[in-house]
Amino acid sequence: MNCIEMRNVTLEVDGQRYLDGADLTVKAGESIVIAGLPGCGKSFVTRLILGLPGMDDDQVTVAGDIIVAGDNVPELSSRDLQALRRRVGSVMREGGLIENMDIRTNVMLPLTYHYQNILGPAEIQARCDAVLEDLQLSHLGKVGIRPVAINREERMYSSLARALVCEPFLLLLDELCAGFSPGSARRLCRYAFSYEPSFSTPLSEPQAPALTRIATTVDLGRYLDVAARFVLMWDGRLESIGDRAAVLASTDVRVRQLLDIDPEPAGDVPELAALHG
Amino acid sequence: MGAFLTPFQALGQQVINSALDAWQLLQFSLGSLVALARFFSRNGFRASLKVTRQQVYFTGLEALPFLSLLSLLLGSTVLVQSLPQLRGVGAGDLIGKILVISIVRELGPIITAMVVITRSGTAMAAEMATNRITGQVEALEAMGVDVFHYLIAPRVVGAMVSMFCMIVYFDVVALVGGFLVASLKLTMPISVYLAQISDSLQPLDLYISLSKGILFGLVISLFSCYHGLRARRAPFEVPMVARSGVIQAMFFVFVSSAVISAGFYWI
Repeated sequence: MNCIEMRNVTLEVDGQRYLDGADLTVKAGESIVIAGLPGCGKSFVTRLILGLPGMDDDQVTVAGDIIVAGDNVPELSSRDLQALRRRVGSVMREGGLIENMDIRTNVMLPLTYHYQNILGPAEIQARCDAVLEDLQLSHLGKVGIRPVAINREERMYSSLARALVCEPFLLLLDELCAGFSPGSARRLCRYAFSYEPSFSTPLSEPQAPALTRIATTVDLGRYLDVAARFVLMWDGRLESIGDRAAVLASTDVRVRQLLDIDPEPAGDVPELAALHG
Repeated sequence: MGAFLTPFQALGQQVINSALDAWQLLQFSLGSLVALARFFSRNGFRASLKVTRQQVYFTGLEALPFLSLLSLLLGSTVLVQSLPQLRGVGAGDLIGKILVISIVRELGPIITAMVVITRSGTAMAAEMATNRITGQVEALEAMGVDVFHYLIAPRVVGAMVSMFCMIVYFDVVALVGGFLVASLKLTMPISVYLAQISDSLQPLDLYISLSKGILFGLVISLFSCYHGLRARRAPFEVPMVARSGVIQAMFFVFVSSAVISAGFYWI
């Protein structure tokens, strides 16, 4: 079963074409990485999936089908789009944390907004504690710790916690670890691609497929150990490279270029818990 | 010929831009009003209500000390200036009428609106602009949060409730507190003063005053949020959109105040 199917998608924002007949199929439960040069429009793929192609007053033209969980996103009403986004977790480039809320309130926000009638305050608090503890972020769960008081790595972990607390069927990661040291980046990638929270009162159906993950990056090397499939974005098109072995064996100059940005080989990385003492 | 046309072209472009801007503002306002109509019935109402409470606190409660000072000064000044003049021409009984018309109908709503625009309107516009520029608005949208319902409607409700309460507070403090301050200079029994005020104060005066308050609260918050959210990607836009929101809100407040007063006068 396909989670996402993009067919012949073209996207122009303010007269600049970012996607030009792009095709992409992602099966439910699959983890893929979309790699491309900076500014090539990778982020627009995740934004299109969410139905957020541009800012309000951008001149945006979208053509083609973007089918997410059976719904063609460009044809959805704003209310249906909100219902879809509610079931999708996303980590934006800078984390997208709400600055006038503490980290705890940030993580609980999607639950308090969408599910307060279903879960109740106690269950929401319990979920927040569980996710923060699993991501080794319990120290940020205290009341009053604002995003401005934490470092960028903790912001991304907090954003990841917020994205996962609602049990999404799809997780979108936009430049998750850009600017991080190789060790920090690999640790964050490992969490993002392997951690899936489970709760005593699940929101999703018992037979729901595993979480589908899509990440965008300029640096293929950081995801080699965690993603199942790699896609190259070039000249507005999405070209499948294959799995880890295919990436490493590729002689395509474009792929080598995206690998060479971080030439350090994947190695043993200390766990986050060890770093927090 | 081209040089001759340039000023007209610029003027035409300005008219087109203004019309487009007005159209976008209208669309934004309609979206906000729809969110307002569904404010209590929608999922996420409790989260939005929390934002509303915060807005009432920032807009209304925190402004009370400043508003108290302004209302005391205004009430006492109007009394001190007008009562001797009226008595001089044997029209001292008109003081109640003068105060009700000047303070309750006109100055109360306008001065309260100015306080809200300068304190909260600028803050709202700057906050919205920062939220937009730093990607917080997008993050909310990506979570499926209705921005109109969660960001705009609570601020509109908060500003309307605050304006309503602040105008009542302003009128009471200006009329009663102003008299107490003015009594240092004037000799007039408070019972006579209060009787004149209550005789002069008609339900219509309260309707005018409070309907202005609700309208101004709606417009100040809508204009501030609209201009704030128009910021795109750079921090230097924050003061620019805040300024636009303030100017437009002030313009609307003065014009609509005059129109409402004239309308009621002709009725």
